[in-house]
Amino acid sequence: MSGIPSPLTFRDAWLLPLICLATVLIMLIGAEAAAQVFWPEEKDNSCVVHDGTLLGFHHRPHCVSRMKAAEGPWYTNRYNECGYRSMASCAPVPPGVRRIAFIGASISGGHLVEYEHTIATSLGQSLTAMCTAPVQIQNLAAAGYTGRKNIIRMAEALRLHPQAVVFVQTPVDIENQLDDTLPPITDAILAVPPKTAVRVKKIRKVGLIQQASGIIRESRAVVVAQHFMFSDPSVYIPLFMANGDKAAFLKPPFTPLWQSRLARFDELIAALADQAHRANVPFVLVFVPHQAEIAMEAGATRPPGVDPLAFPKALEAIAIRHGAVFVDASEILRRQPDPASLYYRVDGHPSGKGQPMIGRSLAEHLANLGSGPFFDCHGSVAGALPPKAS
Amino acid sequence: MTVPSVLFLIFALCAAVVFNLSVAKPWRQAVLLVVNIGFLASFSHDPVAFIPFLGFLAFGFLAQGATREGGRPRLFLALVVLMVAAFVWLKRYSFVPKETFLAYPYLLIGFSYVFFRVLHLLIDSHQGAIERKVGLVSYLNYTLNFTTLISGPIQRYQDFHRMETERLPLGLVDMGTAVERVVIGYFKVAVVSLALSAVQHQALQHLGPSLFLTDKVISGALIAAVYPVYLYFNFSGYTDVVIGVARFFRIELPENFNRPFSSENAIIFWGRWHMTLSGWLRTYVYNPLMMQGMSRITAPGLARYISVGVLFVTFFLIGVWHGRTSEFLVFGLLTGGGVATNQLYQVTMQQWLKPKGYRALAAGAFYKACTRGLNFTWFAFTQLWFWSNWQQIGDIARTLGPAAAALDVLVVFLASTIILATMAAVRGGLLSLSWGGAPVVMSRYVRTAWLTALVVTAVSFTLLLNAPAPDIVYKAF
Repeated sequence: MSGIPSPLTFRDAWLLPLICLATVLIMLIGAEAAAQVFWPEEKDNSCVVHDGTLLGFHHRPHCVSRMKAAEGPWYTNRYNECGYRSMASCAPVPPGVRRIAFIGASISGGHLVEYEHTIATSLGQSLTAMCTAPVQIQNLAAAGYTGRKNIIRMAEALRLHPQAVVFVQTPVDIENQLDDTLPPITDAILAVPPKTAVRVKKIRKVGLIQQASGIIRESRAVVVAQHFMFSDPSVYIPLFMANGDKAAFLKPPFTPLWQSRLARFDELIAALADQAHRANVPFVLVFVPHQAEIAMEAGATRPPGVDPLAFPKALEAIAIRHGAVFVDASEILRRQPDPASLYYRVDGHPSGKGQPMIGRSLAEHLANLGSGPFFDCHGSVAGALPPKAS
Repeated sequence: MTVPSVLFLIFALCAAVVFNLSVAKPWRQAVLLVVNIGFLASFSHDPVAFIPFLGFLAFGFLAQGATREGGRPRLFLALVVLMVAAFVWLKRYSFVPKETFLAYPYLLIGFSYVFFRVLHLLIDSHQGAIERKVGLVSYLNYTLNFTTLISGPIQRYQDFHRMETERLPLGLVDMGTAVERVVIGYFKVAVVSLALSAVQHQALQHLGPSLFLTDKVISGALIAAVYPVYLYFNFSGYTDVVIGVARFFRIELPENFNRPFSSENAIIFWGRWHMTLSGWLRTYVYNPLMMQGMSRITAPGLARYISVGVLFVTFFLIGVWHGRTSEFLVFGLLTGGGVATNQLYQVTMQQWLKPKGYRALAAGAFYKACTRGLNFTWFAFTQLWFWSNWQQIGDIARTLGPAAAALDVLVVFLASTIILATMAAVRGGLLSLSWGGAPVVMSRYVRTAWLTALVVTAVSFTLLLNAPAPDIVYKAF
């Protein structure tokens, strides 16, 4: 700003915009590099073996892997001799020990959190503390086991002779089940999971816009940016609601697409409950709310037309119709003083703080049923149900 | 409307487009008047809240018209006194009986700056320094100019009027330079001052009686030293934005800051900090008092000390102007005391070493570095009475204790001496890198890259933190 500036030359007309562009690019690349260094991420599970079965993959027995969400700490996956994420052996339990099997997708499997902080582990530890005998967990769930794959998983779980089977579901799981392209699951398949039926992968052409959006989605700098942006419910909620179909489960009456998802889910629960009932094993459906629902409570800003209770009510009706126990984790999460910390803000999975809370709440629910395999369990676990703020 | 904010920038951009649609003076005056009134109206929805403000403006207009070019000297004096009294009363100074105050809430946004402009008009008009009669539209545009309403800078009417009549060019380079100024200002307020404010608040929260002496000293030093730097970025950033915005209305506003922390003493410092305020007081307080003093005190031994007393009065008034409470009275005493002591020191040293010897001493690099540090330290500690109240000052003093407080002064002095000397050396080094006869860092290519980086950082910072820029401190005055 000193002196009289010289007039712009022809060279300036293209050089100055180029300098702007180059500066922006350098800053973006620098930001991405810094984000990659300071927010490392490892989402590939080295214990996964793609086997061409209907399930698509399994975990290598006795395998240990390290993973990390960009927003979370490093954690360890340890698999037992059956390839389940469990510290206990999958061999028949000794007399007096009760067993619970977990099926489902990422949240059931304790995705992105340390073993001690998973819903399953927390449930086992809480029930052991509340009951007269130890409770062992066999976790058959894993990220990717969505929809009807759980019918195969249920059959495997029942072969472990558990006292209960727990199936944790989120709105995202129910949304994803429509992508399930499995062939009809026959009794023969359920008897022994086939190992030779290779699924054909669909090869899709990817356009330029999709490629660009893929780069942005994969950008660590964008994750870091979103992490800070989403810390404010007044920013996060409108952005989430702008998702259209993905957010439509919050707004009753449900859209035809969500109605079809619920119908499909109804069929799935019917099948799972039927398998469990035939084996005389209680089947528990746990609903974990989307972080947007919890953020609405935290920010005290509920967009018009949103009813966070409508979706769990619909799931509860499905569970009751098929004789399953229904547990809604919304209430326990909603009551926490810092609900934003219960989820990874960008990834959306419950964090190492949110998952144990769900596990403890589930334990209390099962212990207080008054009947069933945990009839002798009583009391409550510290921190499970804090008093409601007046 | 907050300045600077994205809304303000959009408002200014739309107004500038309309303003520049025609070169006709009536068009531009009319557009500017509508914009100024629109901007003022954005601060309250209650028309009654504007009555005292507008009453003061009407009084100022009539007063300057009635006493033009030396007419009615007694009336002029009475009007000056009345104007000062009206300002003090409307601003609710604590020494005025509360019972006399207006009982309803009214708008006083930028009132101190409007007062300076109106008083300047009244005096200059009476002294014949304004050639033509001031028209109502021109008067309103000058006093309510939306770019300077909130916190200045205080422009002279003569300069404003010259730009009203002479069309300042507004080419591509001028617009680029103006945008550069806006970007730098926005970055200073929205990023730097926000971060510094957070640092100072953290230090304040961290300070506690259970801390070790080292922690106490670090926290105390941060509390004292960060605030003046924050204030500089906050206020100079605002000034940069309004100077840039005003340029689109073909107005060149005066500068308010000129690297104040590079000053070697308090007198130079106040010539570089809030320059238009100290300039105004120099013209209307210091100069008349000096002339009066020199005409009355003729003894050669005393004459050289007149400036000491006059400087004290001038800068005491600067301090007192900032607020209505006893804290600002102390701030005024310290500010006036600092400047007067500095003048006394210079007079004494020149007597002792003779002017040539004192000049040689003051030119030394080590001496310069130390005086810069000393000036910063003094300013930083006087600011305690600017941003806090007696309760907070008492709490800080009790928590620190005498040992930590004394060490804090030493730490701030040493740190500021080293940092300011390093900055001066780096600046000198950067400016010495030249290409084509001009410093490389001042080339439009480097500046374009730098500005782009500032824009990207400011936008990211604002979006990610989703925190509004801190309010302009001087908006309160």
